[in-house]
Amino acid sequence: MNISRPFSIRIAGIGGQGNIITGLVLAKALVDSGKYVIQTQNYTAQVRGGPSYCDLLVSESPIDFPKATIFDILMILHPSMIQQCKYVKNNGIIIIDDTYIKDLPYNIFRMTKRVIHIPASKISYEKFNSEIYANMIMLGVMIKATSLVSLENVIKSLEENVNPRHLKNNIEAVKYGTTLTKKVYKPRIERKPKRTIGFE
Amino acid sequence: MDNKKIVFWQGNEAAAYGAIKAGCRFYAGYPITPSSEIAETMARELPKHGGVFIQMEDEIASAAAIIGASLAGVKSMTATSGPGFSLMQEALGYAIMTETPCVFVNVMRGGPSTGLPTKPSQGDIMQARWGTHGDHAIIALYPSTVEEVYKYIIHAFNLSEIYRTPVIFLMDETLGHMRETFELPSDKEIEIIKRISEKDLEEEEIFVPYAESEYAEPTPNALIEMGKTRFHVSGLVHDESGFPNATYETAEKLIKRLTNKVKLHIDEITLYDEYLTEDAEVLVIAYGVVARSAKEAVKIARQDRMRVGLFKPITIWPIPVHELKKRLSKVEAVVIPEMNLGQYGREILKLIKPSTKVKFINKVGGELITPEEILDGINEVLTEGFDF
Repeated sequence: MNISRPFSIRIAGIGGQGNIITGLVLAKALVDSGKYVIQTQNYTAQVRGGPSYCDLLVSESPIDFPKATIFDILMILHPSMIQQCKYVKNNGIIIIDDTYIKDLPYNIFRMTKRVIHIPASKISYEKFNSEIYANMIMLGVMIKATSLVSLENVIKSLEENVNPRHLKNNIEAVKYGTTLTKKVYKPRIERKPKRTIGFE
Repeated sequence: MDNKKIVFWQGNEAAAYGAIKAGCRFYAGYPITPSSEIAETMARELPKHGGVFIQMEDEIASAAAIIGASLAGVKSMTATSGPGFSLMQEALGYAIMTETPCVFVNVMRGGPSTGLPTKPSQGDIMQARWGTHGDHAIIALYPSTVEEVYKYIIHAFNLSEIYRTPVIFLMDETLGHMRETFELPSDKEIEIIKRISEKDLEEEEIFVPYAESEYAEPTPNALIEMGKTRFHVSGLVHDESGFPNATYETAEKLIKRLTNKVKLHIDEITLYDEYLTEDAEVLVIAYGVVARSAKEAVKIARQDRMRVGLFKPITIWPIPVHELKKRLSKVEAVVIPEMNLGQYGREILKLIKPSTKVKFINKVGGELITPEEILDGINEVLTEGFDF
């Protein structure tokens, strides 16, 4: 019996930023690439502005426990969710929208150095005259930085899930996002697990 | 794998699609978090299948509407959460008394009252059993994965048709809002019980809806599809014609028949799942979403060579008594994790020998029970009295 915790991703922000749709698009793309995926969400009664996050668990085998406590990838879209950083796994990847997020808590640098700063809201405003595509730009950055899924699968998933009126801009935002970073980290799901017997 | 469809649905969506697959063509409800997606999907999908979706003014009316629809000939269901389920209790009793098949979905959230709308709980277990007044038997199903939601809601409709009783389909917030991949079963794998239509009746046949066949034998397909067959329906104690009759003999016979319908067919109704129970010393009994944590805990414990097994009742009411007793007689300790203060555990205690060690793990704050907490519980019963 091989028990390994599934690969976990959390997309955190406030209600209205599109956290859950970002997670859903990514989840569908992962499903298309043949993985077992569980997507859960958390939101409050406050529809706009309340804390909201979308969790994804990805695995090569069926997943039992549907929640994660620490995350391999954290995507933070709003300053109020900055405390979510403490749930990062050792050497996990943090992607933040630094248009509004100015400083990260210093203690997270003990856990990981893999932090990507993208002024996504600013870029979205400059490019599309609106900040609402920030989430898709961040998604583009994530798939470039981790090569978790192919861009084609994400675009296919966008076509299924996004309102056709906004589809063109969303696809453009994801594509643009993939050009914004040169950092590429290999996520744990791709790395071969090291096997030890304990007392070498 | 190639020609089968892989879907990525929420628990709520799976419940709605499953119900449509089972032949549900009438949905009345009042949207409430965390069950709103069922109403949303039904509103979108039912008209495509020639069904009717209606948003009622409240849960009381919704429950009454689905009973009416079912008596008129279509399979019907409603979905709600804790506060709405409290309002539906009166109509639930009416459905039991009038032997009307219908399905009540209750996506459980934290309670009491409006409680914790977006957090999971298993607090309505006893409400499902004894929420409505009077002596009655009830069938309640509680799956633990999205695939099971789809599979067992179809089964819930079948049970409800066979035994002519309302079936309660419990889910929790996590299950309702969780998206998961699964392989959609093909039409061949799905068994659907259909009602007999009027044209299948032979000429000059008298239709007696409340006639007792053998002693509490189920009378499947007794309701006629949208036809002109007329019969009287009453929530009062009635004889086999359906008209009120308050004599001692009728009342005793009716109420015993209604409970015996379920009681005497416990082995046919009950469904359960087990995992590594053959040689288990410790049995974890968990249901719903907690069973997923429990399964992972059992896997980890087995790796550490602890002989642990999992028993998961799927029909939580009636309890799979006979099967559970068999397994309980072999084990030394029982661990019962649930997201309430021991509602189901107390029922299971009645089946446990006094010499068996019992450990309850209860949590009510709206967080899931983690595999580690269950593992701690297993460790505790196995190493009781030792200090490391």
